[in-house]
Amino acid sequence: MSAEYVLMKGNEAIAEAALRAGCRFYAGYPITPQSEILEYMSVNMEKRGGVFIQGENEIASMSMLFGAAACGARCMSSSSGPGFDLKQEEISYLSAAGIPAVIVNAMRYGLGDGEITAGQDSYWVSTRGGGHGDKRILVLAPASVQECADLTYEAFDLAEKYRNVVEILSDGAICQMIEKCYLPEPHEHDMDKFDWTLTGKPRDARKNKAYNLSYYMGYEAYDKYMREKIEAMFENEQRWESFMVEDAELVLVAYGISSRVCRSAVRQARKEGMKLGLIRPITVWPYPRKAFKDVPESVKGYVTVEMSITSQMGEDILLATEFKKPLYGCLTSKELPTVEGIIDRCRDILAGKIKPMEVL
Amino acid sequence: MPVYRKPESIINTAGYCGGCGHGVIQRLIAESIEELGLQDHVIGCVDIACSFWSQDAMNFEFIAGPHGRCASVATGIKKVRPDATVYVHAGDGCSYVIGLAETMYAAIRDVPITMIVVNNGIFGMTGGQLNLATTLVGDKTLSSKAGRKVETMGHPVDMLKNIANCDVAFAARGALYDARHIDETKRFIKKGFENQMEKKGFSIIEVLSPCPTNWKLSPVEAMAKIKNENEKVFPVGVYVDRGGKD
Amino acid sequence: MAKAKANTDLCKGCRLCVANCPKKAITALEVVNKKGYEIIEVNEELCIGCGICYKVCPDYVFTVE
Repeated sequence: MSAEYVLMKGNEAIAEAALRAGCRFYAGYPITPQSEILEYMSVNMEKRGGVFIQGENEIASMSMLFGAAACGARCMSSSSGPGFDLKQEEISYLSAAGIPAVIVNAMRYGLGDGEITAGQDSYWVSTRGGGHGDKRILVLAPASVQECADLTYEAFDLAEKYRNVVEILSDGAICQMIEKCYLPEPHEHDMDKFDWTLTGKPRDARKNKAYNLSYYMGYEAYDKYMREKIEAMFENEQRWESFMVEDAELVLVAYGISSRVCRSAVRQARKEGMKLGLIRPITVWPYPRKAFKDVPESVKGYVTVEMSITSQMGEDILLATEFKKPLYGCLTSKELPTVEGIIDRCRDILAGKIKPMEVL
Repeated sequence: MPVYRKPESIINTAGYCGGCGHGVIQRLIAESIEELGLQDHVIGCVDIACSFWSQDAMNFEFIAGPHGRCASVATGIKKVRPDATVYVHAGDGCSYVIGLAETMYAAIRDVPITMIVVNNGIFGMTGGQLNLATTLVGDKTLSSKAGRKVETMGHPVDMLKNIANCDVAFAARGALYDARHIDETKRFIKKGFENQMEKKGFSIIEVLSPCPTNWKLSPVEAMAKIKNENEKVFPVGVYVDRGGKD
Repeated sequence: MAKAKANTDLCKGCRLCVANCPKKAITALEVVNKKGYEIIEVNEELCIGCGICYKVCPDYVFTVE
């Protein structure tokens, strides 16, 4: 970690942290609100001896990444909303061949084209998506520019540790926010250090194939390998932050931009005598179920605060709490949640004016 | 007298149907690579259609899929492993239909890879459906049972003319219907690998190849069809030979 | 003189060699190999070792030496 801080946008922090992690291949296509990642890479990647490609589309960008990542290079791509949809095909192929890569999804609001402003309604496509087939994607959700840098830097290690795709799930607010940030130390990655990569081996050497691991491992061995890998990620990688949960009556649950508003709401509510707490998932897959294990008996229920009218995270909270406590919603879509809105909602909930939410 | 022996880079039987041209193309690739002394540093890129079987037959490292994306995948490989010989062996569905953008942009970027496209005018792996780019007008397929109609399906396209619009190192079309044309195709493919060795740009070699199974012809009849029909629409020869270095 | 030798285990019965041999030295048989394909036979007396069978064969049946 550098001793001096810099002021950066979330997008820039992600790009710079990737370069410092040894990422030497980036391919992507412009889409708001994440284009600064592409732009930053276009300026800085070649200076570090890496490859920057502006792809003809998302699919081609990801296919180029698929080839480069199969060779052992640390690779990243980024997108948002409709652009992220187009990346699903290759996430499935990367997953099938056990090829690590880091993909950024800066969520924007809405269906179809939606809007270029912040949203949190790509939770499902991130935590359940990644194209067809059985797999899991590790999904890290930064809530500050510092976390954009730290989580991106670490994402490459996690991707290689599990030979898995790792996603950075930011949003249009976090990725555009300018904050103080301490950048991690530059690291040089050795793309020849793995035994599974394509290097173009001589005639007498055992050859690697970048294709479905199941085809070469055998289906039974592959199933065991995948099951164990997913269980290991689930067990080892749950991350969260608990804030004033110890004596809370209601616990807010929020990630990314919403969690920042929630933190202010908890502080403000406590000034007004209402005991709120906050559980902030940092990984949204694996969902931090452990965070819900030791909440005190004082907790009367949970409130999911998300920019998603279908409460995409709600199901995960219900699973984490085993349906033992009621779940309430404080849902917005295009607008950020507000401190006042959250506090008013919680007051009504505690007064019994709001029914628990049925997640649909 | 010259000696003819299966190249040592081919280590397994070809997994194709009897009379399929893919096996010949594999041999031409292997011979070219070996004659140029490149076989110790090769990465092949196959599509998840018929060319897929090549990765089990050849003693090289391979990457397969996603369908249609071979030119992009090979671009990514070549960018991070510039000293490796990187080639694509894919069909006309991959290269000209679902992956047309990927192929054209590999040409536009002039990526120094060798791309071999098998033009057999049909979707072979999926059982014989129309190929929008290469099925001849009137040819019957499972998805054009009355024959390809221009009114609804358009004309087949000579994609090498489109590629010749880009500043590429080499573009040529060969055919497999007799030994003379097979020899010529070999010269084109070898030229494609030489260009890569000399760090020239993008080389694409399209090969008119039979799919007797899905054409519902005997292998010998299928070769006659290439000569009498397909070659009329898709003339063999060199489209671009830029020469020079870079 | 070089002669064509056939490893008919690899043959898939396509008959391209039969059609292309300039000396009609290759005969189509009704005998099948282990894979069930009808194989061929080279008449070494007629063979001139030209290599055409090697070139047209998609399955690497022929060696000419």
